[in-house]
Amino acid sequence: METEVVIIGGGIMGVMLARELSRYKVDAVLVDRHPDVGFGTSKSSHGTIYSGLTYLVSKSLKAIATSGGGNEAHFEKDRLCHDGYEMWEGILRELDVPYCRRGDTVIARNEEELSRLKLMQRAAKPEWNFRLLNREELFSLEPHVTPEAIAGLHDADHVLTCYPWDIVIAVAENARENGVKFFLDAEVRGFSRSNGFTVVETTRGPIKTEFVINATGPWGADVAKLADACDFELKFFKGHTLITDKRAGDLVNNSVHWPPTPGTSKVIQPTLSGTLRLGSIYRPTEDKDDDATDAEDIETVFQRAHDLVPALSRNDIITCFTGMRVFSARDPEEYIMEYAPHNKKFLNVILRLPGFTPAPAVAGKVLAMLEEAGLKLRKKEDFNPYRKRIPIFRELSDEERNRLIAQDPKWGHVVCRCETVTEAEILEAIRRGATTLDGIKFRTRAGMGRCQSGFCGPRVVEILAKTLGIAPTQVSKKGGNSRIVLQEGKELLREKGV
Amino acid sequence: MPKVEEIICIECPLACRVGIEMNEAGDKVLRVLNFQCQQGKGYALQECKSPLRILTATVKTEGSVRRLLPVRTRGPVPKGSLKDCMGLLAGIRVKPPLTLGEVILADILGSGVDLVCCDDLKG
Amino acid sequence: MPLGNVDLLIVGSGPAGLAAAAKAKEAGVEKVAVVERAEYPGGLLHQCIHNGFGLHYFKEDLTGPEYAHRFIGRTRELKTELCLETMVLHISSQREVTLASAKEGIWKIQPKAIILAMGCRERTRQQLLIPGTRCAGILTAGTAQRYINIDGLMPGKEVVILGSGDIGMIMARRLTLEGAEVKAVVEILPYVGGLIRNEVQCIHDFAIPLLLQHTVTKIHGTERVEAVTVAQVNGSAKPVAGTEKMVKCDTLLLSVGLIPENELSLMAGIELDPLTGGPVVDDRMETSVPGIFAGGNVVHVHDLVDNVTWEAEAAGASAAEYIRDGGKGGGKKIALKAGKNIRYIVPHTITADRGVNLYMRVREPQENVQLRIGQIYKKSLRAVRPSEMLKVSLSDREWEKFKRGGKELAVSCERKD
Repeated sequence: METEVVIIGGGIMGVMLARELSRYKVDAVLVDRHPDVGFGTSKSSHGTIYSGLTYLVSKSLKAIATSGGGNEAHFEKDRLCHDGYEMWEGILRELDVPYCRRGDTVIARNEEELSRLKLMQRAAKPEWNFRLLNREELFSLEPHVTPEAIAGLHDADHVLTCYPWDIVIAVAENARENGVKFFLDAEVRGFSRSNGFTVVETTRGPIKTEFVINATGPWGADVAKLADACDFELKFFKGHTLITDKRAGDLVNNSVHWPPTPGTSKVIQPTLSGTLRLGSIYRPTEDKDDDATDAEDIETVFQRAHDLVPALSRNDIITCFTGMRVFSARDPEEYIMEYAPHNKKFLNVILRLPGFTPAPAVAGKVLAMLEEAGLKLRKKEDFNPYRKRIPIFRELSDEERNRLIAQDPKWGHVVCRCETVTEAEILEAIRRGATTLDGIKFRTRAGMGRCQSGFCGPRVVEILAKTLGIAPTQVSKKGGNSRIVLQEGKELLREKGV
Repeated sequence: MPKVEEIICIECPLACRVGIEMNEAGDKVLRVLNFQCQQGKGYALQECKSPLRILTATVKTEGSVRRLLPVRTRGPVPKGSLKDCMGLLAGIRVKPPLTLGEVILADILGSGVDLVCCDDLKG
Repeated sequence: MPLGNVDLLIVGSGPAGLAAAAKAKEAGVEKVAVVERAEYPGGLLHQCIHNGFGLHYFKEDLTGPEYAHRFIGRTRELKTELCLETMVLHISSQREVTLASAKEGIWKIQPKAIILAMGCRERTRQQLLIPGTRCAGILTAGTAQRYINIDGLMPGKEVVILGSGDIGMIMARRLTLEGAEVKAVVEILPYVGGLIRNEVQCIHDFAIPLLLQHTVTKIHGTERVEAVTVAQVNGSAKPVAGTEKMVKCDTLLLSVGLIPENELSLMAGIELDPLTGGPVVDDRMETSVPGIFAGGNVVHVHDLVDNVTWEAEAAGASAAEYIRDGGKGGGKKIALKAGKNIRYIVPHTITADRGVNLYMRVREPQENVQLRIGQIYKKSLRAVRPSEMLKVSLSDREWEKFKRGGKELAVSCERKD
């Protein structure tokens, strides 16, 4: 395979770069070792795109970022986040990604915390319009926060609530539609040179290319080292997130935070589907592949959320998961967006959080860097920025549903009963690139409900096997060795020679 | 020295631990201990002498949309023969039409018990 | 042609739905329809290929499919309409039902009465918040049962089962018979959660290690399960530090509880009992919404399908009465209160002037007990366990005595000494 640009990594940064490149007459291939995009850390993101108060709170994760104040890298990060935020609503609309706008409130329980709120208010841009709330105002806005609260700082806007996988999948679909090739299930094993070009050696074969962008998040240093292109070090932090049942959804109206303290993000966020997201502790770890949840951290995240909103009970929790956060070791506040030490045609783009918010702006900067390194960017006339999502049966009116069923009866066959997902949606998800149970889950929500795919799992396995023309024993949860069922029945007995 | 084998009775929630005292040679029951009813005594004696179990399983089909047909032994068979029965079943394919109760394998492994269908099988 | 406005709509064709349908037909209801989302009738009986069904109702030892076959046959003979692959999307408090199927699309009907028979779902690993990775190979016992008994697929080769309820133990045997190795059945209590018969015939028969007062504290494996950590628990069911052991396996099966499936009940505004997870019902199995009845696992989790059948028959008979007479108002309402060692009683209130079946569960296992209802009913029992539902059938004559009493009846279970 030959191309002009290889993007390694199908997370938010990789797919955003792919989409941006696809505006130009540039040949590009996106490579990822998973069978689908977003299967790395992007799927565990909180899925909010933010500016304003939420951004100020995120800046204060200071044990991770040890120094206060700022330098050029910090100001650039602020700028990229601000610019990125401004671009996002347009992008979400173009890509038909469901979202809603919300605000954020930070609570103070005492004078010391109140003084921190006032600091944040001073650090705010005037157009953000923060309001300092007294106790009465706070409780009329958020009746369920702890009675210990004495005041709050409120931003009525600047949080776009989405699902991270919705975004990554939508951006990738549009990039593919506009000509980017996706080379999935392909792990990069090494790099070599050939006549002035780089050859990216993958487990599915080599790709000859002029430019390489390394956008692999936590694996960024590993990949860069394979190309002798690494002069940075990464630090890893595992964060836990809990999700509540929808019945707890009424407990907050906007995101609610404790005043930020180093190393933690103590937040309760409403999600699009009416559940609550409780987060998060960032525990330093040496093992970037350790995504296991830990009893202690689960308990701490819950306790903190419970302290913030006492009406929350353990019974409200329906699931929990982790996400690996990555930071640059030399400056935890910076984004790594740089050429390799001796090769301007190899770029390392590794973002700390927030990773989604600045992505469109970072993509613009990276394209400028590519141009400077010699990539010719000529605009395409036929770039199509629009993408339509798979119709969501559960949200349609009966008339709309019947119209779809008249075209294809599979719109009337409900497969996932907890989230009311039809066979037609599942088939469309496969058509759009899902090859695993998780791929279908992220595109349709089948398996995300109360029974966690207990009922629909076997049916989705059957649909995948039939549609992809593979044996049911080859169907996997998320690629690799994650097969759902291990053998055809009776073969174990035959094997054992019974 | 008489040996006492303990059998947990399954006839009711009391789950008495019935003791069967056997002679030295192990071919004669001397006493039955610690039972609360005749069913329990009867069950324990049978279990001690020759434990029997009903086997329920599935067999693969041929020529039917339905992949498997549930089957059972009509009555209990020796517990020790369950593994071999399963091995036998692994090689069977049944074809429609079949009615519930129809014999799939008569006198399975010489037990005197038939293996029958637990459901109809349509084409 | 899509289903029209029937007299009685029954949601679910498992044992409860089928029994209710047959009874309603026998009681004279003209148009009875059962809607079922699967491609086959019988609900979970279809995949419960083991025996033990019908010991009380038929006095025979049947497998799940055989038990279902009897009722499917009966409903067919009685000319009940059976709509397969049809899903109920919504029920309103006015009994408007929205249905969906590939064949007919989306449509609404308004039956004169409804019987809810949706059964229950299984508690998940996520709900228990078991720490560890989210890899393939973690599934509930019922889902594993579906893979093995319907799809002909083996979900694992080296299996650890968490929970010794009946489903967990049955699957321990099933997996072993099909050639898998069950490394352990792990149970948090000091005794098994299901029937002794299953402990003997599913666990002891196959020498499967039974770890009582243990639990799984972590799941390991990047893409597929590779091992679980098992630890002892103390008297408060909390893991004891230092007792952790790794058990190598490729599958973790969960049999950790059933939850009545009441999404539709909530949509209809039906009052639920947090203790049972199901609707509050009176002895006619009517819910808090007039004309909507319920029976079977959707009301409370049963252990014997025979009781599901009897309970659903009561719902069927009552629905027939309701359709005929437009519902009985009035009548003295007597509330049943759970006293010593009683966890819950169904039905929650009694209104009828006739004998009734009461179903209840105890909190703790006890031996040599006396079950009392009010001052009037006493029954001695040799042993009681939470996993074995108790049934008290009160005849018309016995019931007469209660009617003269107050508005509340306490039910208790205490040791005789």
